[in-house]
Amino acid sequence: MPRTATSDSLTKLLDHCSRPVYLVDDQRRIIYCNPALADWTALDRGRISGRVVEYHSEARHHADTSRDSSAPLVDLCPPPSAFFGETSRGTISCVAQDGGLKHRLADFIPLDVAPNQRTKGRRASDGTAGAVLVLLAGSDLSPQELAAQLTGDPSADELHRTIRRFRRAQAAAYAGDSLLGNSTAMQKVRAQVAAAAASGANSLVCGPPGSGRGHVARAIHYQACSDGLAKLVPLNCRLVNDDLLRRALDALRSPGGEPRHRPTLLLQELEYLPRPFQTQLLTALCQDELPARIVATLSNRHMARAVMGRPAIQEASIGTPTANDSSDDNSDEGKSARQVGPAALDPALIDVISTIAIYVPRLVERMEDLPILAQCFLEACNRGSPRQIGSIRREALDRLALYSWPGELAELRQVIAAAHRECASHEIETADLPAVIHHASQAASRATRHPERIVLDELLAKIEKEAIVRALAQAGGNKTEAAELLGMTRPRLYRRLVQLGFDNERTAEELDGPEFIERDSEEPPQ
Amino acid sequence: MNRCEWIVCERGSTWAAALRVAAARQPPAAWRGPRLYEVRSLAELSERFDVCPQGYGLVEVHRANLGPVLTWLVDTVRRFPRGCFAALLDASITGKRGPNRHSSDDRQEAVNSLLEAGAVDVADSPRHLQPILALGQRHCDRVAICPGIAVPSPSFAEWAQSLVPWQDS
Repeated sequence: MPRTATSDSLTKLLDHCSRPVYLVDDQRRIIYCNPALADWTALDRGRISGRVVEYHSEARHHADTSRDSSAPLVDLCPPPSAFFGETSRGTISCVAQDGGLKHRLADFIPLDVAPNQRTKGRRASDGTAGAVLVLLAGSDLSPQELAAQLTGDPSADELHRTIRRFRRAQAAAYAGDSLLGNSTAMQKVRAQVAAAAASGANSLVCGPPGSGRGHVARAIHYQACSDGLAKLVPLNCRLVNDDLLRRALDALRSPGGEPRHRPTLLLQELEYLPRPFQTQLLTALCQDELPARIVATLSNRHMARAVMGRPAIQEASIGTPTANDSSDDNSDEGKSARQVGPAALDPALIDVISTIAIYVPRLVERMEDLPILAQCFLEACNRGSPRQIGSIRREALDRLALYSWPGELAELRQVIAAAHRECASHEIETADLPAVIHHASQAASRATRHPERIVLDELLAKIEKEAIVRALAQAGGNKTEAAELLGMTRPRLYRRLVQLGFDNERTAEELDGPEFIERDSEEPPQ
Repeated sequence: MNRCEWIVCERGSTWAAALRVAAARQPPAAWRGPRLYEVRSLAELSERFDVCPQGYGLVEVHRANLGPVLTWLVDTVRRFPRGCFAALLDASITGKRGPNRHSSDDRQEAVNSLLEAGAVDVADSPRHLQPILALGQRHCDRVAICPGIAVPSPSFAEWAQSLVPWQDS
């Protein structure tokens, strides 16, 4: 009698408790929760009780709100140490209605462990140990309190939760709706990403540098996580070496949960992967049956066309630097990649990887998306800045639309950041935009004018002067390096500086000291 | 400024000192000795990257700053796509300090998440910096070979084109 009465009374007491309380048994199943917990998590009590909780940090898809009554709950799991009889304190998180996370301090109180069995780090032999009572605080942690928690010396549990918060944020950042734009091209990209994520197939993401290929590739991974847990292993093919590749492959081979939780190997800029590593990777994929999904990005648009079944491009044309590729292909690495290039990529590797080929369009091919993208970047600049700017004036957007955007979204982001710095009002105006945008606009505005006369020598001198100034800036003021960059001898550079009307004294002082004049005077004029 | 700088962000000078020593032990031909800057906070590191967007950032990660570093990496890798970042794991995460039976799991989780956030490599001891040095050298070689790739700088072709009055469209 007393036992039942006490049990009922205790249940009633806990039911009326304003602080969320729940009890997890040694099988990590929630066997009791009070209404306050149901309110806090916005889940029915019936859907919480009986659910298994798991302790891990892997990201789940943002849309997975754990309403599925058969899915394990992650956020409510006490730390493993609590199941071994250690009282501890940490934080518990759940998804708020706005999609963000809310956090509360929690006490994890182990139950049913006899004192003589409470051996640290060891489970009681009769199996009775392990039930844990979790008592949450009465209110959520404020961002300041949460930050204070993080800046202290967090326990292992806090570290684990930090990683979980990061992965949740990543999953949210790379959700399907993060691929902004209503253009037809972007709608197609979103559909392909969804298909790649759902199918688990290997994917090749092609497009110009800066177009957001990396974002698309990660979106595939994070969207694929909606039904399980998966690890993302990025590999920068420009910087890869034996050690990095071996460690990446090892990370993919290591047991990371159930087979359905396939990890993702993200190969960034696949065209730079040296041939021996291609072979090594192919062997791992085919012979060792690497249990991973491969998502690769390619910077060469021609390769994308070849992969997508369009006529293959000649190697020579692939090697021709375009406006988009110029920044990458001027390097020796770029040259070697050109020699290896798309044509030298192992066809077998491409076959394995390109199950789904996704083409990320150039920004100029989706100018209707420019306003929303610019606004998105503007709001990103507002974050953490004392300067809060609300919008971009229509005239400024029109001016942006005239530009050719060789640097794609990355360039747009930086242009907006520069305008954000310059802007003095609540709205970005045309005058706030960087000079490069105005140059493009001037060029465009002259397109329909009647032919004008120019003095070619003056024009060429102006261009040469600008080239020299830029080369000197590039070389950090070192004239020898600048001369090399310009493909001329150092004495000739000196002479041109004088001939083009640079202020000798200033130039000497700023660039290299007094030797400028002296050395130049030693050289006979040509 | 487009040259490659190595920028170490840490509380003390442990990693920077170890990097200097490790660099000094490199064969002279292999070590081209970029300048090593030391900063003490992520904010300072960001400021340094504003000056040198193609730099090589080395960030010390310990238990207390793992969350902020992850967030910072995600933002900064996006902001400075020409930069390169590596993480330096403090002993508080690698588990060499204090008895923590979950330390290896913690370490692996931390490493995975740092790589996921954008670090190209993770070092877990000042005594094993060879991969970090090699990575930095490769990055600096690349930066030195392909200069002038800062995205927002005005395109010379665009500028020159704007000077020419006749254009086809």
